[in-house]
Order: sequence, then C-alpha cells, then structure tokens
Amino acid sequence: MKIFKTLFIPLLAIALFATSCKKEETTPTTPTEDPLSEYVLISESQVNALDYTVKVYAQEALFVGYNYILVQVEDNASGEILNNPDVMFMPVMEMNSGMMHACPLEQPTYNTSLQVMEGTITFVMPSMGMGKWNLGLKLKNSSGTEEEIKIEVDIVQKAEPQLFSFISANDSNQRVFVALVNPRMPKIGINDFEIAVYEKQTMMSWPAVELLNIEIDPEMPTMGHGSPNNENPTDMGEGHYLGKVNFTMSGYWKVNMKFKTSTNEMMKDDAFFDITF
Amino acid sequence: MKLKLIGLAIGLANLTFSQSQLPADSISMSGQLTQIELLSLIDTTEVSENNVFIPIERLIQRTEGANIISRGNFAQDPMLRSYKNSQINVTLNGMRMFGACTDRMDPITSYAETSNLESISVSHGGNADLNSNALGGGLNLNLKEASFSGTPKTSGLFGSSLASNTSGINLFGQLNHQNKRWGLFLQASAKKYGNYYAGGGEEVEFSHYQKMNTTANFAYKLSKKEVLKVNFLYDKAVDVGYPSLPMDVGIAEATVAGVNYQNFNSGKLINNWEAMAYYNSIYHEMDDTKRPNVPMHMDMPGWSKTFGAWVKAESQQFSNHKFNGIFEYYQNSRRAEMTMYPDNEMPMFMLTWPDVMRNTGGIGVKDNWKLNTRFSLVSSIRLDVFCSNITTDFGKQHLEIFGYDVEEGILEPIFSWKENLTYQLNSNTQLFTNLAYAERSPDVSELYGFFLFNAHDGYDYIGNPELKKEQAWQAELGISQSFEKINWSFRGYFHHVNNYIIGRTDSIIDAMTIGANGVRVYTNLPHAQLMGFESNINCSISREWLITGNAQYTHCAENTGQPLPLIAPLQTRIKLTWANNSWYANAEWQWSNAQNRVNSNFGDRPTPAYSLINASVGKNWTLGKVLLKTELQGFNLLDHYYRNHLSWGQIPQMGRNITFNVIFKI
Repeated sequence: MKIFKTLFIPLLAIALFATSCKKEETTPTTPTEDPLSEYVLISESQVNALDYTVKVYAQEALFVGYNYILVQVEDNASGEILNNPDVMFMPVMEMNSGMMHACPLEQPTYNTSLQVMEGTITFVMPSMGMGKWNLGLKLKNSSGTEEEIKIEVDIVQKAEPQLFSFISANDSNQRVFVALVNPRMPKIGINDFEIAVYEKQTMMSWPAVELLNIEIDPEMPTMGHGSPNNENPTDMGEGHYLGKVNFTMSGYWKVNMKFKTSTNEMMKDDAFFDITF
Repeated sequence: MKLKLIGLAIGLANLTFSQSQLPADSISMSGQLTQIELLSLIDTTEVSENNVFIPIERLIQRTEGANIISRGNFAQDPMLRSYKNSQINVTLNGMRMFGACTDRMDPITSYAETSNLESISVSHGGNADLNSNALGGGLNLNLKEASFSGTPKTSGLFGSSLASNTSGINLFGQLNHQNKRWGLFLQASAKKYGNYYAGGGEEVEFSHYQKMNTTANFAYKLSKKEVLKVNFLYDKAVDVGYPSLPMDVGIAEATVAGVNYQNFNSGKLINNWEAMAYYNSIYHEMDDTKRPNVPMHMDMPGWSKTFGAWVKAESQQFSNHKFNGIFEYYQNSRRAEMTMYPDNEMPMFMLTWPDVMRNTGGIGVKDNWKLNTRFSLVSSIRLDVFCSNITTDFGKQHLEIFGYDVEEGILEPIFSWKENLTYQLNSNTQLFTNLAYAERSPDVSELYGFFLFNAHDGYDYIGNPELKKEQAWQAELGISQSFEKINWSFRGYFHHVNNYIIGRTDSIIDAMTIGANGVRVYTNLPHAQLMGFESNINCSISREWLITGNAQYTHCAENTGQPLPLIAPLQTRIKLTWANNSWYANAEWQWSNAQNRVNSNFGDRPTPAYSLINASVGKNWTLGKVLLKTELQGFNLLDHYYRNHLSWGQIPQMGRNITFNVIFKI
C-alpha cells in the first residue's frame, strides 16, 4: 500500500495539472541594445550650416516600391540625438535625358522609441541605367536656419516587383502607381494586405488616390488553387488600402487585383503582385 | 505459472482459449480462436504456433464484429462494428499510441508483429472495458512477456514462411529464459513481400513491403508479490506500397518503451494492482518518387510522440461486489508537414497537422455485482478530460485562415457509462443485455487537419475546432449456449450516435491537392444509427472433427437514411477442421454478400458478392527435444478475382496464395 500511495498520488497530481489546459506563458523577448541595429544604414552626411550629422536608415537596401526611411539627426556640438528635428523629404530623380521628377512620399514624423524621423518614399523606378536618384533632405533648426542636402542613393529593382503602374482604363490621362506595403514578411495564415495608391499629376506632384474600390483574389498558379476568407482592401486614407490575404502554404502566390473608381468603373482588371516566401 | 492479473482489463484479455478436444497445436491458421468471455464481452485471439504467420490485421478481421479497411497489403485499419479510426481505442500492451500519418497509413496495429504477440483482445461498444474512452470499444495487442519458472529454462522458437503469391518471406526468432527470480524474452522478425497478384493473375502494382521488428521484455520478481517488467519494441517498415493511394511510404518507424509494476495480494481492500509508465515515438514518411505521372514531387513526414502512465486496481471480494478501478494520463504530440517541389520555383510548404498536443486524464470504476445465483450486473463509469492545443503560433496561423479562434485550447470532458446484466437461465444458457452511453472527443485530424487528402472520396479534408463530441446510446442483447458437443452465441446491437462526425463539402474553399474533387470540412451530423449482429457456432463432431462458423452484419445510416460509407456487407465463414495426434488439416468457406447500400458521395461503389475457399494441412514432428511443425496453407484456392467492399480505391484482393511454413521449437 505504501508504494501505491507514493506512486498514485503524485501521478494523480501530475495528470490533473497537465490536463488543466493552461495556456503556456511565452517568454518575453529581450530588448536589443541599439534600437536601430535591425535597420540598414543608407548614408551618413554632415550638415555644415547646422553642424548636424544626419544618418539615414532603411529596413533594407532601397528598392523600387514603398520604402520606410528613418532619419537620425545628431547635434555635433552637444553630441546628442535631436528629438523631433525639422526634416523634410525632397527626393528627385535626374534622368539621363535631363528630365527630373519626384515620387510619392509621406513626410516624416517623429518616432519616439527609435529617436528618429520616420516617413516613406515610394521610388518609382530603379537608378540603374536610368539616371540618378537623390534623396533630398531639407533640415531646419530652431532658429530657422535651413539647409538642403542631396544624398545620392542607389535604387534596386527587386526580382519580385513591389510596384506597378497603369493608365486608368477609365481616364487615359490618369497614370496610377500601386506599391505593396504589406505583407513585408508573408507567412502561412492571415496576412495584412496593404497597398498604397498614387497618381502622377505632374513631374513633381504625386498625390494619393482615394475612394477606390479594390478587389483581390490570391492564387497559386502552380497548383491552381486560391485561398478562402480574403478581405478586399478598403480605403484607409492617404492612398492606403488595407485588407487581408490568406496564404494556405508557402511558395509562389499571385495576388490578383481589380481597381475600380468610387462609382465602380473599371480602371484595371488584371493587376497583380507576385509574393513568394 | 502465469502471473497475470485476471480481472484487470489487461488481464482479462489473457484469459486462455478453452481447451477443445483437439491438441492446441493442431488448431490451424484460420482457426476459430476467439471465445466470448461473457461478462466482459472481450474476444481474445491467442497467438500460437498455429497462427503466428498470419498478419495481425487478418487475425483482427477474423474476430467477431471486426473488419479491416485496406489500402494495400500492409497496415490495414481495424474497424469494430463499423466504428473506425478514433472511434475505437487501439492500444499496445495497454499503452496509448497514435499513428504519425495524416492519411491513416499507419494504424497502431501496423507497428507490432504477430510473432511478438501473446494475444489480441477486442471489446465492443462504449465503456466496453475500463480502458476505453471512445464509442466503439477497444482493441489491445498484448505483447509476449517474460515469465518465471521454478527451474531455470531456456527455450527458442524459430519460424520461416514462404509465400507463392508476393514471393514473400517471413522469418522470426524468439528466445525465452525463465528462472525463479527473473525472465527474459527476446524476439526479432523480418518480412519482405513483393507485389501481389489478384485472382486471374493481374499484378497489383505498389503492393509490396518490407518490415522488421524487435521486441525485448525483462521481468524481475521484486518480492513474492511484486513483479517489475520492462518492455521495449522497435519496428520499422520501409518501401511500403499502397496501391489505393497516390503515394507510398518510405519509412514507418516506431520506438516503444514501458515499465510495468504489478502487486499481488496487496491488502485488505485491494487484491492486486498494477501501474505502468510508457513512452513511444513514431516517425512516418511518405514517398512518391517511385510513382509514374506524379504532377509534383512532395515530402510528407509526420511525427507522433506519446507518453503516459496508468494505475489499475482490483478490489477484494466484498460480499457479492468486486470493484475495478483505473486512473490514467497520457499526452500525445503530433506534427505533420508537406513540402512540394515545383519545377523552377520555391518549394511550397505547409503543416498538415499544425503542432497539436493533446493531454488526456481519465478515471474509471467498475462494479461486478452478483445479485444472486442467476443475475449479475456489471456497472461501469469512466470520465476523461481531453485538452487539445495547437502549441505554436505557426501552427495556429494555419487554422486562423478559416476564421477559427485556436488561441485557447479545447477542454472537453468525455463521459461513458455502461450497465451489463447477465442472466444464467440454466447451466447451458446465458442471456445478457447491456445499455451504454459513451462519448468521443474529435481527433487531431477532425479538429485541426489542414488539407488532408482522402484518396477514397478524392477530397481534401479540413479540421473543425468547433466540432461537438460524438455521443452514443448503445443497446445490446445476447444469448449464448454451450453443450457438450456444441456451443453457439448471438449478439445483436443497436447504436444511436448523436453528432456523428463526417465531412461536408465546402464549395468555397479550393482544394489544395492537384486533381482533388474539392474540400470537405468535418462536421457533426445530427445523428447516425448503427445496428447489426454477430453470431458464431462451434461443433465438435468427434474427437477429430470440428466445425466452426460465424456470421456478422452491420447496417449503418445517416440521419437522412443515406448509408454511411465503408460499411461491410453480411459475411460468413464455415470451417471444417480435422486433426489426429500429429497430422491436421482444415478447409474453410468464406462468403461475403454483395454490398449495394453504398454512399457514392464518399467514394463507395457497389461491391459484388464473393466466396473463397481456403485450406491448410500440416504435421507436427518430434525430433528428440526439438518440435518441428511443417504446414502448407492455401488461401483463395480457386484464384477468385474479388474486391472487398472495405478496400479503398476498389483494388482487387490477393488471388491464390500458397504458403509453406516451418517452425522449430527448442
């Protein structure tokens, strides 16, 4: 009987505990020391008039598409990183033909945790062979002194395009640019599907296009199947449209898209992004 | 001396076959090696030299109320009274094990070997014995174990079987040492079978397989009333063809280990008790590299790991009551993957079992109550708690696609209860009836399966974490009579299953498998009904002649009256056996009716009736201390071309097969 007690009671306890269906607690991830260590340093420049050092970071090498740009401004005199400095993006491409044009962008706002100014620039073509991209930054200090610096950057075309453009079927004067914002890290399961839509009004004016009706339909061309329960992107303002795309497996997916005006006139019915992971 | 715990559910399975007038050795291959243990309703098939070369699945098929679903010549899936998959409990020596293949290519019965079994016990219905926490009863493979002997003894058993069909060879060897203090049993076996030929000579491609198995058991007498046993089993099948499926199996590998403690004459309240702790691990890998016309190569490995422990006890006799109890806990973790390799593109990957873990704890009590000399009532209840979880975010993300919230686990109590009343009408006749209520928790595939292709109906199956448990009301009536020369029995049953789980076509979701008919999501039918009977008869004509026969039938329908898929038709066997002191022979007629009650939605097709003739002849030789047994067995002697209704893909079964068996016993 002694063995019975010494064996049975612990077993009972173990079993009841283990069967209690408790959710396992996840271990918190340890914070990294340098908050910018996960980003790529694109350039480091001196702003002489203001005595600043400006560092530009991005999530990866700059590419044709929607890029997050982080700007860190350090005051050389005090050696301190400035909180909420006045920074403006003014990217320009100088084409080999001599023409110049800008591209869609979202002016930076201050990111407190990273101590950087964070915005986005949607480069619309690669620099390779076509011309030179200048990441223009206009900085201003508290006393009103300003200086514009030009940083030449290399813009690569990714193997899987992150941006496409089309002439609206509804209006032959409207040239629309669509950039993939999310998923950046596609996964099996439900993914946010976010795109940013702009149009080219003039060489220097690239406003967001709002109020579109967009439909998506993901498929795996190799297998001939799609996925269930996708949500069409809806207008979030400032040219952003957010929906859900579901990937049932990894591999090559083609997310087909249809663009319609707010009055449901077809603008483009055979657009797509390729997403492979 | 047999140190078995009679009365424990495991022990019950070891009740030995009643001695017929025939010498035990002469009961042949396809023998009527089952007997009803009336109160517990456990049918036990003993393994002996006479049936050691018959695959486990065929032995199960010969058990009353049992059938097998086949997808080839290997690893057929047992079915009890038309309950299948997780509706029945299949255990190995009382250990819980769960296959690692999402397509059920590896039922647990495929990881043992007839030659390492002591017996196979089968019980029907909910709470059929205390081990059961499903609807359809239990099937336990009792491994051969070491035992003790007053005088040290070492013996060996070696066998070899050659098969004409399949050009197959089956070899095994056993060593058994017994002494006062300890015992050791070792066994190894190896089999290799080629493709088989159906009746008329048609080759059934991809029906070959190879398998090896080793088992070791060590028993140690701790004291006069305590025994400790250690079990180990390793089984590996390679290059296994599945003609019914679009792919084969490269490796199916199981490692099983268990420690068992038995205590006898334990005290005033408890007569004996037994505890066990175990672990098993299965790896399964499918293989499509040998198939022609594969649209895209894919790898589909699966893993299943289980550990658990149980305690079973039997009380002393308290006036006219005797109690049994069980307490058990086990944990099973399963993962299955699929990777496809398209030309010139990134491989495509998904989880088909998304990192699922299930914890189960159960407790059960049984009361054997002798009301008077005529009536006895066995009441039992068991309560289990099943907790199912997806353990990784990666796994959870798979199911979230369908809108399921799988963040939290599923906690489900599973209850079963049974009353079994036996009435001894006179010294020859027993009548019994039982009424049971049983529940079953949906299994891993039914809850969380992710595009599991079913080759029988051609659909991809998707799990449903919102499934309700199955709930069955089961009633049974039986009679058994035994006279000097003849005994017979009949059992009829009616089961009403609420929330019966089946696939429902979802036309919105695209199939993942190339060429599949569509997608089915597991769902609960309002109810289904299963009814049928089993009957057997044994008749000793003389000291040398014996006739046995049996018949079984089930009729199963959905709530709409539509037949359930994969239900066997009426089947009978009649067998005539003759034996004298050293020679023996038998002939068997096996008949299966046509099955025209089919559910074509689920891949069923009408199956014509068939009848087969089997026979065998053998002789036992005594050469000094060596016993030699030689035997010729013939199966489907008329080389009839036939299909079994429970074969996936309507592949034909094996044609004429003559095997030559030799066994040495030293």
